[in-house]
Order: sequence, then C-alpha cells, then structure tokens
Amino acid sequence: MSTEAAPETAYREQRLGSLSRRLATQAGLATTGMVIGATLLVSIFTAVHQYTSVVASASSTAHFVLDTLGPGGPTGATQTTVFDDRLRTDPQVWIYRNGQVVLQSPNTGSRVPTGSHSGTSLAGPFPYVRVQVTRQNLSVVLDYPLAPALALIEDLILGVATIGLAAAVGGGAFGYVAARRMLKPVQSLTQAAMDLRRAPADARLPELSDPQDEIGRLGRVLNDLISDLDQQRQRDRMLLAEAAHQLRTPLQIVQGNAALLAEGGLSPAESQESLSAMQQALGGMTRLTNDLLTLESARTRRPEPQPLELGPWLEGLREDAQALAPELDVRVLAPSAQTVQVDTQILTRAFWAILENALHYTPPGGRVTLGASLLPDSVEVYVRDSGPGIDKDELPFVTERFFRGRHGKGKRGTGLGLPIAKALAESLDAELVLRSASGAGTTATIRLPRDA
Amino acid sequence: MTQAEPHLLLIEDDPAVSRLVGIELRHAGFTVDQKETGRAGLAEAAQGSYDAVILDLTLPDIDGLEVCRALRALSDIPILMLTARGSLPERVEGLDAGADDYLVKPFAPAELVARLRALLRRTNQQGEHERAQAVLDVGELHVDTLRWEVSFQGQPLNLTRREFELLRCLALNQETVLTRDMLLERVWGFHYGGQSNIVDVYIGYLRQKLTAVGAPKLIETVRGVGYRLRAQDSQGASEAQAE
Repeated sequence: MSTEAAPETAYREQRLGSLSRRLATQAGLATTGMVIGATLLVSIFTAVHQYTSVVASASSTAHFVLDTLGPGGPTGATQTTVFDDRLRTDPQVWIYRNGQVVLQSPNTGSRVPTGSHSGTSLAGPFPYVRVQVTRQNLSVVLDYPLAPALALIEDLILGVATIGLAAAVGGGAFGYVAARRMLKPVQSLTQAAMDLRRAPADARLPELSDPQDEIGRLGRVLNDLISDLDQQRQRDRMLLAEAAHQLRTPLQIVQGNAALLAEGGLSPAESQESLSAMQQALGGMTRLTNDLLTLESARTRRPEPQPLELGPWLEGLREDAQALAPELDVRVLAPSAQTVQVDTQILTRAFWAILENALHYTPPGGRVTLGASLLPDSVEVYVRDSGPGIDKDELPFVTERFFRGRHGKGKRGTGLGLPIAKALAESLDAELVLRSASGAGTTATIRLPRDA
Repeated sequence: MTQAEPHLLLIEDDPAVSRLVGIELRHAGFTVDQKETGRAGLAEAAQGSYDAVILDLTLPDIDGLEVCRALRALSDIPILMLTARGSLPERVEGLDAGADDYLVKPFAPAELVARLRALLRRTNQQGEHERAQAVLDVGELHVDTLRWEVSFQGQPLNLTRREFELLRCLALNQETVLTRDMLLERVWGFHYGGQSNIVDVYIGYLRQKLTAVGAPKLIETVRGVGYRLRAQDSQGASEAQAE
C-alpha cells in the first residue's frame, strides 16, 4: 500500500497557495481592466466633445469679430482683444484686408499666421484650432487655444491611472480573500484526507458546510468512494485470512508426514499411507490456489466475446453432468438454435460452477435441468435442481467466499464455487440470481445482457 | 521410443525446481543439460543438438517469452514452457510466442514426462494435425474422423460426441500416455474448473462400450499418470508400472 507513499510535506501549503494567488491575480487584472476600459471610453468621448465645442466656439467667435467690424473694417479705434468667456480663453485674432494684415490682437505679439488658414496644430507651445472667415475684402483668422481642453483631458488620464491602480490593488486583495474563503473547504478536505492516510480505519471526510455545493458534492463522492474501498479491503482481508486458515490443515498433514518419512522406520504400507495423505493434502491446496486465482482473474481479465450457440453448448454440459452424476436425471430445456455473443470460456466456467453445485447437493434420483430463456433485453441460462434448497436466512450469504450452509456441512470443495460463479458472471456484466426455498430446490440463473 | 536417449535442455533458475525436474527426467530416461539464465540457455540451445527445450517463464535476465521467441526464430525445436502463472491469457501468450505446450506449477513430475514424450513423438513422426485428417487405425480399431464412425473388427460402436472425441484424441496419440489434464485440454478445452475425474468417468464408458465388442483392454491405465491406447491388448499392468 505504501510503495509510493508521498511524504505529507508534499501536500503542504504551496499548492493551495498558488491557487489563491492565481485567483487574486486574475481578479486584480480583471478589475483593473474594467476600470481602465471604462475611463478610457469616457476620456475619448470627452476629448471628442471638447474638440467639437472648441471648433464651434472658434468659428462663432470669428464670425462675431467680423460682425462687430462692420463693412468698413477696422478703424484706428477698433479694440482687438477677444475673450471667450465660455471657455475662459483668449484666442489670437488677425484681420486682413485685401490679403494684408491690417490689425492683430495684442496677444499675438509679432506672430503672423503662416501656411494654411484653417486646421489644427497640436505641436509647439501653443496648440490651437485655426479658423478663417471672409466677407468681401475682409477676413478674420482666429487661432483658438486648445490648452484648456487638453488640460482637462490630461487631468482625466491622470485620474484614470490613479483609479486603475487602486482598482488593481483592491481587486487583487478582494480576489485573494474570496479565493481563500472559497478554498477553505478544500483545505479542510485536504487536511482530513491527510489524517485519513495516517489512520485509515473507518475514518471519513468531514461534513462540509454546504453538502450541496460543488465542493460538498466532491466530499460526498469521496466519502462514498472511501467506504466502497473500505468494504473491498475488508472483504479481501477476510478472504486472505480465511485462505491462509484453510491452508493450515493440509500444510499440517504435509509437514507431519514429511517428518515421519524423514525419521524413517515406517513399514512400507505406512510409508505409502503417509505419501498418499500428503498427495491428497497437496491436491486440496492446489484446488484452493486455482480457485483463488480464478477469483482474482475474474476481476482483471477482459472478456473476449464470440458467438455461442446455446443449444449444443448446453447439450455438451448436460452430457458431462450426466456422466459425472449417473444417479441423477439431467435434462436440457432450451430454445433451439439461439446464438449469443459472450466470452464462452468465462461463461462456461461460471455455469460449470453452479452446475457442480447442483450435482453436489441433489440427492440420488433427483433431477437437474439446464436451460436457457430469451427475454427482451437479456438471455438467461440457468440450472434448476430438486435438491434440498437453500434456507431463507442463508440465501444472501451463499455467494460469500468460504460460506458453507447447513446442507454443505462436511461436503468437500473449497467453498469458492458460487463466489467464483458470481465474480465471473459480473465480469461479463451479467448477474447471478439464486432463487430457492427450503425443500423446494434451487434455481441458479446467469442473466446476460443481450448484445453484450 | 528407444532410439538414442532424447537430449533435453532445461532452462530454469530456481535450483530446487531444477534439481527435482532434472532427477525426474533422468529417471524417465532422458539426458538433461541444465542452464539457469535465459542468455546461457539460448547460447546453449543455439550450439547444442537438443531434442526439446523445457523453459521457465520467469528467468532472472531475459523474460521467458522473449527466450521462447528467440528460440523459435532459430529452429522448430519443441518447446515446453513452465510457469507459475496459469490463467488463460498467459497460456495463450505462451503458445503465441511459439511454445508447443505449457505446464503450470505445481505439476506432477509424471505430467511433465508424459507431455515431453507426446511432444517428442509428435515431432518424430508426422504432426498430429496432418494425421488428424486421415482415417485412424489402431490395431483392429478403426476410427473414421471424417464420418465420425468407430468400429472394432468390423463391429460398429455407438459413441456420444464426447466419447468419440476422447477416443479420437487417444487414437491420434496411440502408444503415447496422455494425462488427464492433457485430455481435458484437448477434448474439453481449458474452461472446466477442477473436476479432472470427468476424464476417468468417460474412459469408464468407453471401456464398457469397447468391452461389449470384445476389446476390453484397448485403453490402458498408466497409474498416477493417465491413459494410453495400444494397438495390442496390453499384457497387464506390469509394463504400465514402468512409467
């Protein structure tokens, strides 16, 4: 059992920890991503909105300037300072007459617009949106500053970065805490499983807070698995103990007689007696060993189905049974020419085990019937005998290994016949069904699934 | 079977088993060489001139199945495999690897001798399968395997299917002792658990029917070993004891 037992330290924290850490990282990343995404979207909307409103303001301001000048254009007394109250900014204005600058606002300094008279410039220390409005020989060129709008967006981005960072930390922490909370039952399962490894005797995993949730279900399944394995182990242990026990008597016979022969001084007849006692004991041990191996192979061997014609198969078995038990009346009751797909070797071995049992227990003059019947989704092969039957209270136990009922006291055999039949039948996905009443004979049926 | 003493190679690593088998085989009139590893056994088999090889399945160096395949690649020398594993898949595996017969431990020494004799006889004369097609005549016993008819001195015998198969198997191996297990394997197949006295029961029926046509001693019992079909009525038990 402990051939590859891992030391318990192999199960310690790091595995659990890594799962929490992973969940925390994921939660952090997810929150950050969401916050950044949302704020980026808001920033873009804001930027677009700002830009269009700046362009609109620039255009309306230029028109306002042109309207204020009137058709005559600027005079010496014309004031050139423009201040946009709405956006709290002061655009730079140039007034042209016939292509010549005749007046420019004081905030322009000596700057004169070059290049295109409309468009956007983000380069340089003074980012602006430029518009030009012309009426007859007068035009107004206006550079509307973008700085306030940009400042707003910058503030927004800074805010986003701060909030994002906070969200990442918060999300991560939340994720870590949530993961730890969620994994708490797993941790207790692990602890319980480790305890169980140390002291496996009928220990169980703890009831978890909610047996219906995913982890609770896992716990319940594991508990069922543990009790199944436990039962199996119990049965194996009993089988082993009983087998060893059954070997003691023949071993005693062999040992004792070998010692006698080694001492010498026995008469030839006595020697012969000792030898044949030893041979008989050895025969019994060989039978037991073979039966145990058959029982074991039923668990591991994979069936190889081939077509089997039930009629001739039962007839052959009948002939052998009749030959072995001439004092009984052995008959076959089977539908003619019915073929099933089954591992013939395994089925024959299983069937022979129940047939041997029937021959064994039916008193001389009794009848043993071998039969087959076809049902919609199964094929049954059975042995019915007119023997003493099995008492009701013993019926559930006769397929237990080494069980021997009241009628079997003193009979020979390893006590593994029916268990072998049962194990072999189960390896074929078939079922062994025993029907009996005390004094009314027994019917042992192997019920095979059809097309199996 | 008294030409030269048959020369056998025994490849078995367990000294106790090897000693026992060696003694028994020499008693039975074989010459035996013994090797303890697959490698040594293979080398020996390749140079020596042996009549048969007895090969243990579990050897310390090379797996017995591998040794068997290698041997089979070299020659068609009869190979009898010994093993502690007796379940059917393993038997099939052994025979697939080229073994001619397969014996599961624990076995009676007489069983081994009988199987070896049958093996040697099969290779000395023609194969059992070739002769299986023919009509078999054992002295005055006539077995027609095609028509499923048996007669002694012209008088027909009415046999059941199993009785016929049993008699045919004995006739195919006439003058050779067949053990109960060999008969079980050949007539019934591997799948009967225990109950090897079923062979004795059928031999009893066959004898009754043979006695009825005047051939009471055609099937000879070899005590502690098995049965043999003889062309001449046996002279009694004295010869049988020699086995």
